[in-house]
Amino acid sequence: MKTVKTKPTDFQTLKAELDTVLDQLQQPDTDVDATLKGYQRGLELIDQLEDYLKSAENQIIKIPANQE
Amino acid sequence: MGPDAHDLSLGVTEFVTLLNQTFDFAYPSLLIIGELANLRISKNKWVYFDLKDDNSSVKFFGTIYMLPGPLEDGMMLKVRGAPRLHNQYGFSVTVQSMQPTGEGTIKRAAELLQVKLQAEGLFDPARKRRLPYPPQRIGLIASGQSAAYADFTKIINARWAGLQISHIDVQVQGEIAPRQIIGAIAQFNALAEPPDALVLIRGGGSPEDLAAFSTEMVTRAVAASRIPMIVAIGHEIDICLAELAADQRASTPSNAAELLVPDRRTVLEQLTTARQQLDYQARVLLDQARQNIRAAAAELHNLVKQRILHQHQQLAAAERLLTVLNPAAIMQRGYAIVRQQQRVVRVTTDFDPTLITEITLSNGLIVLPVAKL
Repeated sequence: MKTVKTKPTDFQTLKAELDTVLDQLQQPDTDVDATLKGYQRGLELIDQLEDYLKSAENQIIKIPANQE
Repeated sequence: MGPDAHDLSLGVTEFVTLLNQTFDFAYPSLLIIGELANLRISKNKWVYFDLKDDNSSVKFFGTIYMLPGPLEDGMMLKVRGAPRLHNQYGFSVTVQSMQPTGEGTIKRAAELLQVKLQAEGLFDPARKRRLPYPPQRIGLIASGQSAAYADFTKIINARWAGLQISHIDVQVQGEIAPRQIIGAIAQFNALAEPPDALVLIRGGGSPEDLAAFSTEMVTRAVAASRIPMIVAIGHEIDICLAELAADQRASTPSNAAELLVPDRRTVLEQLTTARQQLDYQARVLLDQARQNIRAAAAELHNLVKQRILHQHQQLAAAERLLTVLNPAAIMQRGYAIVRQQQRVVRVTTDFDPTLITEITLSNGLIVLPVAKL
């Protein structure tokens, strides 16, 4: 079976989701199922964000100026 | 003068036409530097002024769209224009572009323009938008050959990853610079998928070198950009009007890169902290859930125990009651049950001396024969 890994394309989106997960886990009334799911998702997000920062490169594109 | 020219005889209009053709051919565009005098604006559209030096004065004519900003007599101007002889009003230079020149004039022109644009609210802090942090797509307006470009890209590559930087190469000084800068801002703003942030940068230079970034048209274009802009011109001490109009000012091009994106090393450290926080929070919540389960089990145990105790108490009470009501217990105190023919003799009148009598005591039965009467 082929494992599909989420492509780390948008740092902001991933980071925002991680912040939400952390916030959710700080709520004292979070139930066990939600805690386990959040924990697992949080670890996945951290891995993806670390991959993004370690492997992604900046791309510089030259755009020709419009002729006046 | 050749004999042909010497003998040339022309009508006035023909002379004007010939002279203008000669000007067009020989001097289609000239750069003239002089002190501004007699500045006059007509119908909010036409601009008339003279440029002079110690010995001469020349008239100029143009439109207000060519003004670099508010001007006043005495300023030094660098004007590009074409000489022209008008058929009624005489000689003037038709302005193609104009800009202040000389440190004093550039400074004064910027001050006047700053006052004007400030009054319009272009530098109002309330207009400033927050730049996305970090942006994913950046539009970079800079000279591709400049140290500013090299510094910016070096710092941003060191700090962050996964950015798409679109670069439009522009001249950042000279007459053509303002138009190219405005064109680049407009071009980015017109994209179907515009970048998240625009960066306008230039390295240090003389006030004249940086003048393009304090022109009215560039300052207005920066203020009008739909895409949030960060502008960094020159060194920390140089402040251009375009920087004041920008959503964010950076002191240098390197500083612009620092303000635009976080340092990935810091973020990696934050992610390590987030991982620890995640572990800690999950542990706290699971411990709490475990404690809740233990408390529920204890409560359940307690309830069952109480229920059993209660049942025991009820049984004991019933037992006590039964003991009290047990006839045998009563007979132990000396009572007896007298029966004749299976019937209990309760009162003396029920007693029949002709029948066999059974007396039940606590420890046994006595049978009395029939009394002999």
